[in-house]
Amino acid sequence: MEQNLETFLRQKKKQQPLIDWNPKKQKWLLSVNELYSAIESWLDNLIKENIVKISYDNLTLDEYYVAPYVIRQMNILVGYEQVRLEPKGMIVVNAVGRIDMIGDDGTLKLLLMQNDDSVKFQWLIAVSKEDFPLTKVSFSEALEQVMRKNV
Amino acid sequence: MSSSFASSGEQLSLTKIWKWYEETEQAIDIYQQEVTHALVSGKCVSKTFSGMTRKDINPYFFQHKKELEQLVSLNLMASAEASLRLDYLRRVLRGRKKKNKIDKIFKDLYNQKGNRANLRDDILEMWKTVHPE
Repeated sequence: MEQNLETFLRQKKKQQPLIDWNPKKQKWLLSVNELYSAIESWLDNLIKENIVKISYDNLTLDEYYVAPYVIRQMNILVGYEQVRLEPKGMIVVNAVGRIDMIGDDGTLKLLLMQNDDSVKFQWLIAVSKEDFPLTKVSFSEALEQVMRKNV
Repeated sequence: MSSSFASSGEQLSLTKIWKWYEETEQAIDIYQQEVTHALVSGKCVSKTFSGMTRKDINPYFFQHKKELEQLVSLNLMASAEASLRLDYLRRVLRGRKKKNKIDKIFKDLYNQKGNRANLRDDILEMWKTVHPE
């Protein structure tokens, strides 16, 4: 019985693919920071005019396959209304990372996609039928969508 | 009054409904395994799951199974109701000379209410009078 258990668990371990998650995690953390920098540059004028305030919180993500790690969440404050960019993880279906953009009037998914050449990475705004590349314009539309329509 | 009746024959048996439930539940399990495996393998699956984490996948399929159970419960009840109603009509309309107690009770009921006899208040109540156990 003991032998069976050992054999079973040894086989189980052999069947599992050996994945080194570390490079993926480094790329994910870097991409999140790059995204935050891009957003800060898009909002630069408004930040200087004190219309928009940016702050960060540390989150601990537990993704089951890797040890828990700390990642930053971006908070965009406009008056008393806040939009959070909350990282959900790098081990997600059909993508290499996801951040949720959460406002008072809804949530949008931002997906980090790896191009076919496996070198380039791109953030997309995921909507039900189609995904849109994240640019200053699409980010502005996304903000409009998740923020309160009636003040 | 017609002395015979024809049913559509479309009512599903309880066994068939249960088999369908088991097969569909198995198919959901296999799909869940495929989507969960895609997290690690990087294989593309339906866009519905894009961006889902492991924590999102389990409740998604749990909800599907719950809906399946509700659907099957309704289907089982509909099948049971159809069987009882068909039995009621067969007993009334088969024109057998030797009628037993429930046949006679149903005949009286049919004379009063015809096809509109209520399942719970009429048909099941009559069965209870004959078989109170």
